Amino acid sequence: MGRRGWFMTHVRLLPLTLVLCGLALARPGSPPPAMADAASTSDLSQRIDHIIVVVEENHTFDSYFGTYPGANGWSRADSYPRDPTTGTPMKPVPYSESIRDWVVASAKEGKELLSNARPAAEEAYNGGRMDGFVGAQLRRGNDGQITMVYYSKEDARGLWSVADRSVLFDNYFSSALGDSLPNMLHLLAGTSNGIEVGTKKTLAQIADGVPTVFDQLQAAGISWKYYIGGLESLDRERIAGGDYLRSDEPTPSQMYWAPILSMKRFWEDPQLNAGLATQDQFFLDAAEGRLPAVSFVLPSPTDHPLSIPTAPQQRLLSLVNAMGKSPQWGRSAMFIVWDEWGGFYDHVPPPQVDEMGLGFRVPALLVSPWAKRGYISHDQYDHTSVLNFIAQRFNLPPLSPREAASNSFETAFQFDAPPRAAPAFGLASIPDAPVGTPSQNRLTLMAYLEIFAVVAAVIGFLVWAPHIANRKERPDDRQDARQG
Amino acid sequence: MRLWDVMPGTARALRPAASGLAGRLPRVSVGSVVLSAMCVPTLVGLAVALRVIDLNRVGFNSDEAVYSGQAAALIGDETMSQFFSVFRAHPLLLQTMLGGLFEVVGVSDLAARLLVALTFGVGSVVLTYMLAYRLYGQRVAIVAAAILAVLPYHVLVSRQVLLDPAFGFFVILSLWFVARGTDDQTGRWMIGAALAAALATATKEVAVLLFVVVASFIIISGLWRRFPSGRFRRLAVSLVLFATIVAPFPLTRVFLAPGSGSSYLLWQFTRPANHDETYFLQVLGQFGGIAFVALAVLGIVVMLYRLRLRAEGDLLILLWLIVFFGFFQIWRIKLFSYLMVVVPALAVCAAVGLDAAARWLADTVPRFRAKRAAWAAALVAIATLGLVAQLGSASVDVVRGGAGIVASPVEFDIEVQDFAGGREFGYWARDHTPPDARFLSIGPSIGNILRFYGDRESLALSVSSDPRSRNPAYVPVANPDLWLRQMGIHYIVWDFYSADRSAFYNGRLMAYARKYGIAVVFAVYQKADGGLYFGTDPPEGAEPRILVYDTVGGDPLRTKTTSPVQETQVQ
Repeated sequence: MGRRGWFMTHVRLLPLTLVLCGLALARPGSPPPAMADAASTSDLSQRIDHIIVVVEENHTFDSYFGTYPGANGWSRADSYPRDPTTGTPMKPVPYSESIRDWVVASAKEGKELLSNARPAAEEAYNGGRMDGFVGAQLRRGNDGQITMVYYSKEDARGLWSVADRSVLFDNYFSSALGDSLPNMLHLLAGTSNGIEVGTKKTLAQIADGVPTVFDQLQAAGISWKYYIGGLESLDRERIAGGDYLRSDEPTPSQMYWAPILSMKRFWEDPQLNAGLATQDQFFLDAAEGRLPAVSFVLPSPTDHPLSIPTAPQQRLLSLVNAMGKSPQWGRSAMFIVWDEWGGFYDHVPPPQVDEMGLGFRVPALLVSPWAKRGYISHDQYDHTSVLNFIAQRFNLPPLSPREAASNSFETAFQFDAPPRAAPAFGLASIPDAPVGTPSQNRLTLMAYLEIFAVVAAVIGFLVWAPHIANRKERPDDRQDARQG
Repeated sequence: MRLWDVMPGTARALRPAASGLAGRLPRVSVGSVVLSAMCVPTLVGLAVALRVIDLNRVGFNSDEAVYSGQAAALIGDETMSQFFSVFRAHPLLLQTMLGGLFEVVGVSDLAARLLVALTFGVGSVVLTYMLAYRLYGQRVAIVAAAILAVLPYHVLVSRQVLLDPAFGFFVILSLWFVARGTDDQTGRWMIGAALAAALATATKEVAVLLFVVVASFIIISGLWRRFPSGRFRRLAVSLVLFATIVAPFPLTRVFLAPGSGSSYLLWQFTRPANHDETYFLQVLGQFGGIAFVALAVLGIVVMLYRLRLRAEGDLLILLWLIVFFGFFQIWRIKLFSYLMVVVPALAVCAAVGLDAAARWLADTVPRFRAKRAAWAAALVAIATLGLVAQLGSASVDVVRGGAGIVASPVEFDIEVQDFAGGREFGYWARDHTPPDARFLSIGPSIGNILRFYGDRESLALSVSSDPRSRNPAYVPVANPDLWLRQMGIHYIVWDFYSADRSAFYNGRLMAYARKYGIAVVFAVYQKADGGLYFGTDPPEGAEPRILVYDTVGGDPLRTKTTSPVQETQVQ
């Protein structure tokens, strides 16, 4: 073989070599990269100045959007979880008044409705077979039927109305198989640092550490706020003193749902503390056009636990409307995500990218004047994708390898189209004022135009009739003249 | 000579009615032609000027928005069709004309006002001149037209897109044809009168009262006996013409919107009275002035005394006044613009009174007797100039929003000044609120303005759920609290005009604003100097006129919005 032959041989092998290297480097389960659309980082920076992340609670995708047309809902499941006591598969059951009454009664007794911690999640997941949901609840003394509850279009009409006019993600996963704390840590910090479950002990673990996106934003001089429903009810002194973490003290739920409340620096550092705001402040800031560059919102009331859907949906819609009515609407993007599964059934086995997860699918929506309308995205996302989006927009480094590897949301946007008008969502049915149909209006106009035709005809007759009469008399005049 | 013996317009002695209309057209002289050529264009120019200055300074009021919105809906404007039903209380002739205008120039508030002001406002001045000339001669005609051209009331209403200017115009036209009756041997006056009466009725259905006026006049004056042969045939033709022109109103209701007519009838007949019996006299006093009212009364007195002579001109004018003014006086609902149809008659009466007074003075004062005709003319001229100056300056003051002549705009339901800022509010809503946004107001008036200018829907607290007590065009707010929580309503709008009319609903609205409102996002204030200020940080001494609250749905927030308006602020 000559020099040329050696060279050509290795050139031909080069593509194969590269492919093999790429395969070797690719981690198992890593999300496939989303196909790039017209949207780009430059488009983001030119169009989006305000990112709002609303974090709802404790529902899977199938529980809210399992029957949404076009989405990967539970009807596509190959099989359903079995009731271990009878061995029969249990199909999802619709939310009903009897369930609502049971929920209300259970809430009054202080009873846990569903278990959503990691052990229950792992049982439900059952190695990817997704058939342990009912058993996981029964073994914990809960009602197995509740895990299979889904909300119909009527019960979730507020959420569906948002999805109809926005982007719905049907392949968005929570980041961890477990409850709120590990998932919220992924959402705020890109990682839970090994924390698998939310307890007083694990809250205490994060008191001093875990860099968050807010630390990044603060350091970069980018404005941010965390609007927390019920913040005004928390005692600052007791948080600073660690009182809430004592075993005999009830821990406010907000500390799990907004874990930075457990991080001392957000109380001790005035600059960081200035970023904590009440939910009311969000509405005021939105109305007055003073929303920061990045906002996180913990709504109140939230839809945790299993609750009557009206009040949480009203609150969520009011948040969306507030952004829509804001002078900043034109340059905003609002993500609405649910933090974790809440114990509810979902039929899609989450890919396991690392020891934490992914967790079960959760609903996720994107509302923006630049978002595609009525679009269902099937790309794979998780909570770290939100961080990735923020990082892309504001040129921040990733907080974790998970975030760096996650998909961002460019394909959900459409920057080459004119921005959409803001929506004004609502749950009320307002009757329309009685107005005529186009054909009725047209016929009415034609009827009245007849008036002008009649008037013109009459005037014409009155003006010309004497002339016509005079002309008719002329032959007689001539006859008389001849006779004369 | 007694005051009431004076026959205006002629120097002839008293005549019995059988001789024809009093004030039969005198022989035309060169002097009278010159006088007319000088005065008529001047008066028309004055009428035009007063009716167009600052015409668009303030946006539409509620009724203007409704009529113009209907016009746009008629020609197929998609947005307006969603908000304005063509099937409301009144016929649609004016709206059809406006629709034709909008087809050419686009939907425009200024164009609509110009059409009404110039065609019907100024047109009424010209027709009044013509009618008075036919009845009483040139001098009374000039005086009557001069008064009407500058009368604040007529100027103010002519500048609004309401039905009454057109309605009044066609009524005068119809009566002018009737006045021609005795000279018109062909009987064509009947057709002209029927045509004009039909147009008046196709504008506003109350014009059917013209039948009472004309029939009474024909019978009492004996004009019926002096008809040429074929009078029944001409009468039949006139009635058929009338019916043909008026037919679209009932027919469209019956076949295109069955049930709507009965709804409106029910509401019209069950509406509670909104003013007392002295309302119209107060309006005339405030917007006509003492001199005008006194002269009109004098003229009426003169005519009443002359009735024993069956002076036909006087009879026609008095019947016109008695029937229409009497009806509106009896009718429970009294609106500011209703006098538009009788004010020309009052102008003629005032001219008759002025002329009679001048002649009486010229005949009574020894110094004037030698040249009584010249002195009478001079007195009339001086008095007319003074009246025109006084009324004209008052008109300018009124159209520029001055408070000099008006104690309280709301007291007389003027409506124009009270919605100052309404157009700007509508534009703001169009440009800064979601297209699906819905507003809650005290009354439906500001809602109509919002619909026209802002393309947004509005609901009103004061709209009753009882169909007997509400305008069928509006939807009652069944449960404001629920609708606010569930975001069927996204903004609350407070306006001074509605708040002043109803303290009860004002209080209710403000309670909702405090409960669900988060911030005032748009505001109109009236500054101490009368000008408007747009913004949420008003200068010292400014009073709120329109306030828009952004509302938050769901459970009420802890934060209560602070409001520039307290419930008790508006008395």
